[in-house]
Order: sequence, then structure tokens, then C-alpha cells
Amino acid sequence: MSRDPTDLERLSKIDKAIDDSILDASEADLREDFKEAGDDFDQAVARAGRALEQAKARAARMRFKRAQDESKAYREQQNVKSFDLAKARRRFDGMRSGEVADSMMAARKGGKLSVSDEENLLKDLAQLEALENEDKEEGEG
Amino acid sequence: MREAMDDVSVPPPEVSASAPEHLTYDEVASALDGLTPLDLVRLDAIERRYLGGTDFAEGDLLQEAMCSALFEEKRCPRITRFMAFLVQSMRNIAGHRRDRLMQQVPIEGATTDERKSKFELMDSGPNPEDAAIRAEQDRRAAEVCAALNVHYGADEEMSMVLLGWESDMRGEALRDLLGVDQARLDYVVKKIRRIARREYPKGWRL
Repeated sequence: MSRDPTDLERLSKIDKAIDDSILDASEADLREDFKEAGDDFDQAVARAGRALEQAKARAARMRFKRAQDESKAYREQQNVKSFDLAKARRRFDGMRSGEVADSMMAARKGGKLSVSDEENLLKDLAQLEALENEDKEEGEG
Repeated sequence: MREAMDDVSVPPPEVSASAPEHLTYDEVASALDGLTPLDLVRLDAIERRYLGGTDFAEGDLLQEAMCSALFEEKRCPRITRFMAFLVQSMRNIAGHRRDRLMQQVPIEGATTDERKSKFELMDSGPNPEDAAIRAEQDRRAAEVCAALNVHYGADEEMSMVLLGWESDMRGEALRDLLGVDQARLDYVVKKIRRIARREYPKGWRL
């Protein structure tokens, strides 16, 4: 057996129906509605138009802020990359001098490397560093 | 209660099967740019109906609804008319704001102790603050219904339309219920709308 709707539910439905009637009303009827309520149709257009412009301005500011944050995050990521390269360079120098315990045999033997070999090795080390960091984060999470 | 009212259900436009379910930012921006002066007036008239009991100034509630669409805090389903979506957003935003403001002020006619002892009797269900708000809304709704009945009750056509609305009837179903043509139905609906605006210019405050 269905219960009678509460007053709150009845008013909620009436609200929606009145809103629907406003959405469907002709311009002439709405002009009359406004006139009867001592309000002005054209002022209402201006009021809602202002609300629209303000909403668009807020959205533009929000999008600018979001873009700014993304750009900042990107720059910070770039800094991390440079930092990692610097760290890799220290690790590489350590390997060459044989001071680092986990350095490769070839590096410890002090074989002569070309500049591009060094750069590639540095990149590999930086990537390795990043992977190790990721592993650490996953392990912590 | 408020969540149950946070729905949007309105007729569908054509939708491509591959399109996302909700309007994108660009589509919302374009829909807003496409609003005509008549659309704006309709939104203004509806906004006014929900300002009561909130701290929104004229235009602010509409602006909030537009922003929540642009910020994608509320997303417009493709099956929903954009205007109807904005209207539902205004209803929801105003309702939540009203609830929040009610939580900040003591409920009229009840001391904290009275409210506390009243709610201690309930083991489960809403927390005392929500229950107090709900009780206040029920009290207010009963008051509004009684006041509206004075204006609508004696008029058979208006009473029938209201009953029809309470059963979600529109258009043809309402015409059949009343046994009138569309022009007469429009006239009755207009009378109801104008009485509501005159008696409650800023809505029921519910």
C-alpha cells in the first residue's frame, strides 16, 4: 500500500511543475508575469546576462589557474629530472673511481668511455634512479 | 531527503553512440553562449523562486549553477535539456545552502535541551541536526500547503492541476483530467504560477 505524499514531497513536485511551466511559457506570458509582480522583463534579461558573464569570467580564471598549476607542476618535474641527472653524474663518477660498491665491473676497470657513452650511461643511470624511486614508493604504498 | 531531490530527468536530444555521457566543458560553454534573452528571463524567474532562506543575492544562484556546470562539479547528462539541468542545479544548490544555513542557527521555538531530549529517544536514523532540519522543513511545508490551499482550494480547476502535478502529470494527461483544451490549461497554470509568485516571491523556503 502506497503512503500519501508528505507536504514536502507535494511542494517539491509543485515546484518542478511551476518551473516547467516557466520553461514552456511564451514571452508574452512571462512579460505579464513580470509586470504583475512589479518587475521588469528587460531588467531580468540584464540580471541573468550579468550572472552569465560573471560565471564565464570565473570559469576563465579557474582555467587560467589550472593551466598555471599544470605548468608549475611540469617545471617542477623538469627540476626533478635535472636533479636526477646530477645525482646520476655523482654515481657515475663514483663508479669510475671504483668508490661505489654496486658499480659495474667494466666501469671499475676504468676503461676509457667516449662522451656519448658517458651521456648515454648518465641517462640510463637517471632512469634507473627513477625506477628505484618508483619501486620504493610502491613498496611504501 | 535532499539527495532524493537531487535528480535531473528531462527529455532527450539526439545523441551519438560514441559521445561521452555528459556535456564537455566546451559544450557547456557553447550551450551557455547559446542562451537567448528569453532563456535568461526564464532562468531569472526560476532563480527568484529558490532564493528564499538562502544568502544568495539576485543572480548569484544562477551564477553558481552556471559555474558548477562549467567547473564540471555538476555534469549535464546528454539526455537532459541544458535549461532543465540549470534549473535542477539551482534547486539543488539552493536546497543545500538552506540546509547549511539552518544548521548554523537554532531552530525556532526549541531550546537545545528540548531538541536534544527529543532526539535521544531515537536509536537510529538521521543525526539530531538533520532530524531538526527535517522537522523544521515539515513544519514549514505544512504551513505553506495550508496557505496555498486558501488560494487554490476553492478553485476546482487549480486544485485538479495541483493534484495532477503531484502525480507527475503534464500536458495531455492534465487536459484529460480536467476535460479542458490546452489554452484553458495554460490559463489555469498561469493563475497558479502568479499566485505562487505573489504569495511566495522567493519560493517556499524549503
